[in-house]
Amino acid sequence: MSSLPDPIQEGLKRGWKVRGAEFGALPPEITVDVAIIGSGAGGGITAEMLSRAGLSVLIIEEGPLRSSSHFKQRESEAYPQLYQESAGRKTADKAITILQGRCVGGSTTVNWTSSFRTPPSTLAFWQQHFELKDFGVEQMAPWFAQAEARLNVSDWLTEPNANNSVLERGAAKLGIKTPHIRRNVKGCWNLGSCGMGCPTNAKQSMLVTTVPAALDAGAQLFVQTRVQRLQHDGKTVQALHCVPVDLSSAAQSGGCVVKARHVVLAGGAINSPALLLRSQVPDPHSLLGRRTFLHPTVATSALFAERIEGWAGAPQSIYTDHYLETQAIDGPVGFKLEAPPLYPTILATTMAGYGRPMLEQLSQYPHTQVLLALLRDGFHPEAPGGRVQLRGDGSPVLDYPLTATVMDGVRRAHLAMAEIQFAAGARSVQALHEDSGQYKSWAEAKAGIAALDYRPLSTRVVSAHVMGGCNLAGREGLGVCRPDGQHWQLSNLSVHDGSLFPTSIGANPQLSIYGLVTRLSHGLANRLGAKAVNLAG
Amino acid sequence: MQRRTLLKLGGATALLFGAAGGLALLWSPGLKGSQLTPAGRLALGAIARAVLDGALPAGDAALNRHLNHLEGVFAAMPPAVQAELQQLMGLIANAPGRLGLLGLAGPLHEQSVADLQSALESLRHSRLGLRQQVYFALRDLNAAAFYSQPEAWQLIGYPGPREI
Repeated sequence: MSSLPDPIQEGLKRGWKVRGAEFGALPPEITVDVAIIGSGAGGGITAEMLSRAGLSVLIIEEGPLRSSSHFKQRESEAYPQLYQESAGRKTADKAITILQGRCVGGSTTVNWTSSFRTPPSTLAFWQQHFELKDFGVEQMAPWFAQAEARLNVSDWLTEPNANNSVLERGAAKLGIKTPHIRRNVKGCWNLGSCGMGCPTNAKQSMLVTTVPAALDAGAQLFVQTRVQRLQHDGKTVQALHCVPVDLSSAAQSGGCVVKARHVVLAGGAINSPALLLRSQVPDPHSLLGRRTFLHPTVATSALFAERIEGWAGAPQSIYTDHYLETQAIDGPVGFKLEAPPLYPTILATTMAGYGRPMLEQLSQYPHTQVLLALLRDGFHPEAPGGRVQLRGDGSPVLDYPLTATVMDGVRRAHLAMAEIQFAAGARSVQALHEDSGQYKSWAEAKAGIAALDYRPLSTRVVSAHVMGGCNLAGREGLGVCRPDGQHWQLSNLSVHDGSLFPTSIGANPQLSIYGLVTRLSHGLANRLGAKAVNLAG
Repeated sequence: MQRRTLLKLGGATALLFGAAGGLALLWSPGLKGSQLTPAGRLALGAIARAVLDGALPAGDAALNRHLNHLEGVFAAMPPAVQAELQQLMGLIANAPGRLGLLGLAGPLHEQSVADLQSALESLRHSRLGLRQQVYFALRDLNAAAFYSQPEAWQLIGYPGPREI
């Protein structure tokens, strides 16, 4: 256990109003100005801004409240407690594994800190295709600047770890630029365990920034509480019906009816559309839950003579957009390259094979280096994303067909990454595909990958970036929400999370959510007649 | 597993029982809630030996520890996923499922590791999505439960978390 001060435990001692699970039963009914569903990137920013604006705020979070003194850098404890479906959430055909947070702070508690503004080409696409005319680079810049100031998004001046250095070194040999990734950290220990919760409170996640600020300003927080449905009359939301849940998300006895002037939905791009589907909100254009994007992510692993120790040091610090910028945004699917941190469980479940060959591969763990490619989905007509659906028990499942167009991107990404790894001096490279060999040279890899059969399930695909499903648009028939975040049909409901994005971002999305939601929350405070509040500056 | 498809498979298996003379009552669950039944422990233990061949230490003690970790993994899953896992464990713990899915006639714990690995290999490279889903479920569950434990880390050279 960390012996460092824990700001959450200190806040609880100061008298934060937290209910649910070990913090006590929910009240049967409660009335507030604003109910915020979810406490991640969107919910956290909204909670701080609206509570500082003088509104009474209730945050409702399905996951537990865990903090630095609980974070022991162990996957066996982190995944069941901090992630949706124990970090094993799958798409309907099980071909994609989705890593998504489910705890106070949401995915920001467990992400790898990579901070990018929304790329100009993505904003231009939204302006052109979704009539979001005010979403230009200049109009968004001040909101990103506020979020960056509040969350200490800054240049990472420490040397990249060996895992990221391979990307830098290999790309340089090929004449490809590799900028450094900005990170939202303060006093970072360079441990590498960001994905299991930051034990030193260096990561400026919602858990240690906006949520405490909101609670200090008087906001209330319900944890391990699921909003089962919104009660509405087709024009406004009248109440939220909540149930307590255990750590597995199974409903428990009890419940709470929440009444609020305004409801902000910030449950993330699977759970937000799912709640609206469960609640049968108006969806006259049949857009809800559709166009849900994942940045389908694929990887190649390489063995080096030297030790890589991919578990140690800032998880992500180097990237290249070469394969995004050298082709049309709506052409063949482009991809961003980064290096992921390597933890034993994630590595063991991602490598191909079983038995002695698996052990042989894993015994090379300290010398293993991995590159990943985030595929930019949602721009090409044949990469339209997936659709959120409900299971029989009302829980969500994402149906995401891996189309031939996406799979073509997977093959090109495997080739690009293998070339970089060999250029950096890899002794062998393997595509994370069931039929891939351990290629000993770039020529061998080129021929081998070209011959692979790219089918769902045979290729390992993961995602940590769920976006879309409640998209913004400047015209009603084009989107679920207005440009100010308000639902087109329900006047006292806004969506403030990554489900608003009309396409994927083409970059790790946390800062895109922060900047957008800062802007939307500023506007919402005005519409609710509260005082104007900035997130920073 | 895709739930709908697995349900179909479960249904087909139950029909087999019916055709064989109303023996459906003999269907033994492999998993009750998140707890393995004795039949589930034997079947999944055999699969674990095949998936973790070379890594999982010999003897009952290590296998039992591993199966306990697997129960922890099951317990953390939401109800809908637990229901799918119950169907999967039912299939591998009963003769019709074993035969239909793995092509193995006798109880899994009586099979050799080599035969179990041949069955896994056939699932892994199947053209049927459902069979591939079963392979990945069995492989990933075992890999996750095993390699998340400190006793596995020394096999792969992971020093464990840094002291804070």
